[in-house]
Amino acid sequence: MTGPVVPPPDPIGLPAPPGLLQGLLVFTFFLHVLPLAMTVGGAVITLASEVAGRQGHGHHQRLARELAAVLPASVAYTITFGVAPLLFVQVLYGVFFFTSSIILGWLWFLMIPAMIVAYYGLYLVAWFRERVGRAAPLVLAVAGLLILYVAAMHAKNQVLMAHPEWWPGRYFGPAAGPTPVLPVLPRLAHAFFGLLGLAGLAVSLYGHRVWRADREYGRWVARSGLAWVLGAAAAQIVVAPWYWLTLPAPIQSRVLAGGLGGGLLLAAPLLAALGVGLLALAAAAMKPGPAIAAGVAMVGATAALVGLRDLVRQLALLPHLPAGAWALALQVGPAVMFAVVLLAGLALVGYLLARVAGELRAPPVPPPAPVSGTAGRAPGPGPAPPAQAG
Amino acid sequence: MNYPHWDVPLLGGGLIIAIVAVTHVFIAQFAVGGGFFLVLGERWAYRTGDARLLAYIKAHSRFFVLLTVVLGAVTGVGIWWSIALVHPTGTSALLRVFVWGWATEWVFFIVELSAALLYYYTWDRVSRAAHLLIGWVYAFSAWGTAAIINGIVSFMLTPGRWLETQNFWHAWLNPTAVPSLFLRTLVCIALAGLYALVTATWLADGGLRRRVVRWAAGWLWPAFVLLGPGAAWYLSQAPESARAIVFGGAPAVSLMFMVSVAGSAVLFLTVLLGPYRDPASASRPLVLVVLLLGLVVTGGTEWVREAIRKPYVIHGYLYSNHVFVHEADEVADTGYLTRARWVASSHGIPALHPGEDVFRVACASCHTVDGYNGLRPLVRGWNVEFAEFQLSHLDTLKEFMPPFLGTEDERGALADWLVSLNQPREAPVVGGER
Ligand code: HEM
Repeated sequence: MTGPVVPPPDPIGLPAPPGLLQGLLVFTFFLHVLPLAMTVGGAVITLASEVAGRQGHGHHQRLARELAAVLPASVAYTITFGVAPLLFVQVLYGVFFFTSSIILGWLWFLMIPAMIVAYYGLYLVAWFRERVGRAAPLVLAVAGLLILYVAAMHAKNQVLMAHPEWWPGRYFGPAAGPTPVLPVLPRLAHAFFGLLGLAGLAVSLYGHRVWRADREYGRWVARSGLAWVLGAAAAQIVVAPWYWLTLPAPIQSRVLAGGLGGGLLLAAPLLAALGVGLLALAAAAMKPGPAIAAGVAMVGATAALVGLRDLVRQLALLPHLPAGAWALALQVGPAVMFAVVLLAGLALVGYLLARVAGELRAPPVPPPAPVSGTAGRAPGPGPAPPAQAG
Repeated sequence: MNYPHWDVPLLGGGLIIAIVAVTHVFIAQFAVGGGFFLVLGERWAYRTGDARLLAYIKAHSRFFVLLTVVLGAVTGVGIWWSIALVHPTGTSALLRVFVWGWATEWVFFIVELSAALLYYYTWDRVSRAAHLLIGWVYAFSAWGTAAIINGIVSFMLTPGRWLETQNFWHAWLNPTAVPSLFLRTLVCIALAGLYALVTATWLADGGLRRRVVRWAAGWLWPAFVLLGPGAAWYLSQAPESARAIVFGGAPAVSLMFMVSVAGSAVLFLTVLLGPYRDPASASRPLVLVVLLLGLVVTGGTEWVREAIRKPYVIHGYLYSNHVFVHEADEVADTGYLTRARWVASSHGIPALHPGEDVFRVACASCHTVDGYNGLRPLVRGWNVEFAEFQLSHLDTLKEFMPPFLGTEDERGALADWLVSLNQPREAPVVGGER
């Protein structure tokens, strides 16, 4: 005999209508996915380029270095952009999310050390390459595996939270309920190839940009990015349906029946295919227009999938949601504070970026004023090494 | 009671939170104060035209980014991971009260991170004015994140009028929010100096090294002068029960409080009488020892801050063992087990001992069996009658514990299980008692 497993609702009501919180959840999760693509897919492409560079291929070496240099920042934004969806998912679906993550227990907790080690590994390769030397591919591989571990635990938790009927067996052992193998792999693989494709897109777009200054290398980068996109898309032809088939049948039919679900399900592959086609066109002719359009289409496909993903989750969870879990205790003032600070914060970051971009583009500043000696502008680009250390 | 229990042998969930949180606080407070240190140092270098000082500030910024953006940020996420595993009910309550506050803090994180990376990557590549501006944006947004989270953490000790109004602003601007922010700001400034002493002692150059050491050590002055009055202010706003715990109610807490105060005094005097007065005396081992002492003091103070909130997670609202104050009477009628969703017996699994199920629900959020705050040593020598007596008067015998709300049967079962911990164990355990 099994008692109820979903916890009773939190006595404090939701601070905003569920629709708004769901919208913010989906939107901020979408923001999480963009740098995530660079983190997961970028790590893979960097590692591959690093290994290929070992064979003495100059372009591979250069690409590996350039990509490695951005990975720490992309992890930083992945993590920061994960904060907001975590807030909203726990506010809305805490009864499911907390329970399933507790059932995962150490597996869930170990994401934290995994992130720390992976992150430092990426900094090692980006900032201390000379010291890392020939171990760079090894360090990248370890970091990549740890990042994959983090992604896998996210996916595992998502699967488990959607299936309260599997919780007791997982927690107490088979005597308490069914303990099927969780269908994590198809979900993870679907996410992985999606992220890899997006990273390939970013590389290809980067190639188009570099092309303006360096034709040969730019073309090569645009095409190798395209190759990653093609590979990921090919894998997705098998993996995406595989993932779809692991969804419970009632959810499948409800997605297909509803206008929004069916629309998103159709839009995602179409947009993705359109994007791949445009990107190929762009790389063949080295034309920026189609490349940008390809980017829009593929990011659009990602948005459609993010929306679909949330729809599927709603279909799975809402029937289990305890009565009163979404009672309202509106907080208007604090919501306004958030909106105002968000706009101000984005404006501030935008201003700083624009100012930096403007100054970087401007011709070199004249030599520093005599009073300040040479303090202001030591020669050479990039951050200084740890001066006078030791 | 409503969630499964994450079993952490020996350490217990509470200690996991503490380890992650103390690491985080020790770095994150540096992340706040250190921002001001960097811009002010940079400005000083420009004003004096000192290229080598500027080179030091750059090197310090590298150390700063590597420590704060990685370990500082991820351990911050780690606190959230661990409280959600250990105290899902409390975490959920905090989220429902503060989701907009946290969302606002998230915006500050984005600004802070962007400014940190821009600051680092644009050294020597943009005008001085732009670079300093980026630094200021970093420093103030970092302080802003601290100001927001401080309101949330202090709420747990003094929810104040929120208990009646359920109003966000009453929660956030609670009675200890301002004194606590004052204290934390002082500590942030002091830690900026302390960490800078570490990088300053990497400098080889005699004159520069001495100047930087003296300057960095001077950052401890505000805290040295004002921490005492600040702490008194803070404690004056804390609940009576909290003061009682610090001043004798729970000897372990009083002891830790004394250790923190004494440790802080030693730390400040060491730096101010040593490196500050005589910068040439600053050696790397000395500075590292002082930094370590700083970590110990941070750990001690945070531990005390947590301990004085007992027996609550949110004072007057939610007990440490996941029972809401407003449902206590009801729980006292029905007992724990009929309500608990995640005990073995409610899933048809026989518990090893019926009392063990009660332990999991009512005690395990703070106690382990053999490790941190372990029960086995605490119940040594108890018999069943004594255990029942203790359980019946738990909250009055030990003010920092919640009342035991189980039925008579549950109390009996728990007492029985507690006493069974006294029995010699069947199989010898490696490293166990002799
Ligand atoms: C390197 C670090 C990270 C990686 C590789 C990563 C990867 C992923 C992946 C693959 C998913 C999709 C899971 C699925 O639906 O199957 C996901 C979801 C999510 N991630 Fe991350 N993540 C990282 C860090 C973080 C951090 C630090 C946070 C929070 C602070 C976070 C918050 C979230 C949330 C809340 C979701 C689910 C959103 C929802 O339920 O709709 N992530 N992440």
